[in-house]
Amino acid sequence: MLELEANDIHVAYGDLTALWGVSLKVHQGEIVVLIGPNGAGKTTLMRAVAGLQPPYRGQILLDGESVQQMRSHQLVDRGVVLIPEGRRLFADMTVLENLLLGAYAPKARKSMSETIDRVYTVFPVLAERASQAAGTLSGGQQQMLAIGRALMAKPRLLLLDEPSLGLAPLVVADIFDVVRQINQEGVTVLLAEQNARMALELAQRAYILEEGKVSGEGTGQEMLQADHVRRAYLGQVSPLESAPEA
Amino acid sequence: MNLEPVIQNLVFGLFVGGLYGIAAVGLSLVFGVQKVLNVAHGSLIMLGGYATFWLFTWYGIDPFLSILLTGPLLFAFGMALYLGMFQFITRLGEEERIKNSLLISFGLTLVLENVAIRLWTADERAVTTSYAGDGITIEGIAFPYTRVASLIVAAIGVFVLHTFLTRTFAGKAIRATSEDWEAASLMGINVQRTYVVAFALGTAMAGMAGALVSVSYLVAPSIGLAWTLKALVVVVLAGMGSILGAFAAGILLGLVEALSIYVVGASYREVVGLLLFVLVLLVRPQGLFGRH
Repeated sequence: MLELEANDIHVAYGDLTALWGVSLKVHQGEIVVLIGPNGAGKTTLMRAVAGLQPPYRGQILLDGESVQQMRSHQLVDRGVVLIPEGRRLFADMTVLENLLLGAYAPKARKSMSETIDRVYTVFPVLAERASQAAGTLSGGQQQMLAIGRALMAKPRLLLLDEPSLGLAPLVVADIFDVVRQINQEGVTVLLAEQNARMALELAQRAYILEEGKVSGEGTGQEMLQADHVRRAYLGQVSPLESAPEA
Repeated sequence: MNLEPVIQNLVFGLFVGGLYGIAAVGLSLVFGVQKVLNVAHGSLIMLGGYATFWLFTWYGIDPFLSILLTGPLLFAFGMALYLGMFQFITRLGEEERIKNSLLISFGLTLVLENVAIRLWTADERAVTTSYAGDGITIEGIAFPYTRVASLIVAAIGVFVLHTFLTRTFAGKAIRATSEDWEAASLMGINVQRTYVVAFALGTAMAGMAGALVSVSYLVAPSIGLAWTLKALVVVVLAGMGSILGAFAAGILLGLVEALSIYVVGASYREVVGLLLFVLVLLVRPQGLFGRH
């Protein structure tokens, strides 16, 4: 049973604190979404969970065990895999090499050839372009490769940071479908996304992050209805507010 | 004009260039992977040269064969250097890293040079094998055995390193780390361990270069900086990230230097490399074979 829990974590870049006591929970099998404006700390939270930016205060628990001092490569072997903002592919290396590197962790390496078949089934285009340099792919294909590379690690908890960034709406819909499919196959998902509507429709639960703090939480549906969310993130005004004043 | 001396010069330029190439490959690897500029690289070449010289003098081991010993020896020394010194700067940001690596490795150069003087005196040494003066002559062009063998051994060394980096999982991890160490760590790659291996490999390549230097050139405690400078020029010429490119650029520099004596005269030969260095920085800062 996988469970991720962050308790009151504070994360800083040098002297600059980006997260001020954030707590959240992700249960086995869920899709949990983080929404919030640019600079709210979504990426920082993802990086903290992935072991790239350890918190200076607070705790991160994985299956009840404290992991906040673990480095990212150790967390990968425990099934925590981050697809970072901007994808961060190895642009000079081929698509296949990128995928193989995804399975670098000892546990994942054992079942590498089966996993790669599975990734090719989900993204046939990656099989077609296996020997092409990753940097020459289109934006959508690059995001597919980033997801495929992460799947190669056999994640239990997949962290996705802004997968829709810079992609056309239709491509974003495809990517979100894939995320749903991956989740249905048993992978727990924590997704940070500025595209609030699509993310909330996908989510079982969601957190709003604002100025480094959690300012709201609820189910995806509750969030889609919440006034504050509608106003700030869905570009809608509530019927009450839009009514003429006099 | 009689072409024979020109061709002979070019042939020697090729041999020298192979040495420049092998000298630069290790520096390029370390700089490319961990953004550490190790100006002590030439001093590591010097150590490789001494190791070869003593193995030859004490035990009569052929300098080309002893690479099989000096390589692993320098590999181990590289690991110790990394764990004892350089690992502390690879935890810094990139800009701090280059500055601090310059300071540390310059200090290391001084230490290695003076330790070498203390242990082995400042005398110039050279490995003179039984076949040192021999060679073949084709159409009046001389091909000394030691030079030909050096070029072949250097090419094999570069080829093996290149194959390791492109064909093995560990090699791919090194390349991934050099492209984006954070993304590499998200693949489950232990970045610090990769750095140790890359640094030790770079040092082993310096050991190999030292062995080849000892048969064609002189080995003395002070040769370090000159070789560092040559290797730096070659790395800038080649651009980052290409092992084969560094070797090719070394050969190119050797050939250009050889030809330059007809243009600027033998006494300014050394300047030509530096001119080329400045020219490439101005016109093509990513280097001839560089990626960005």
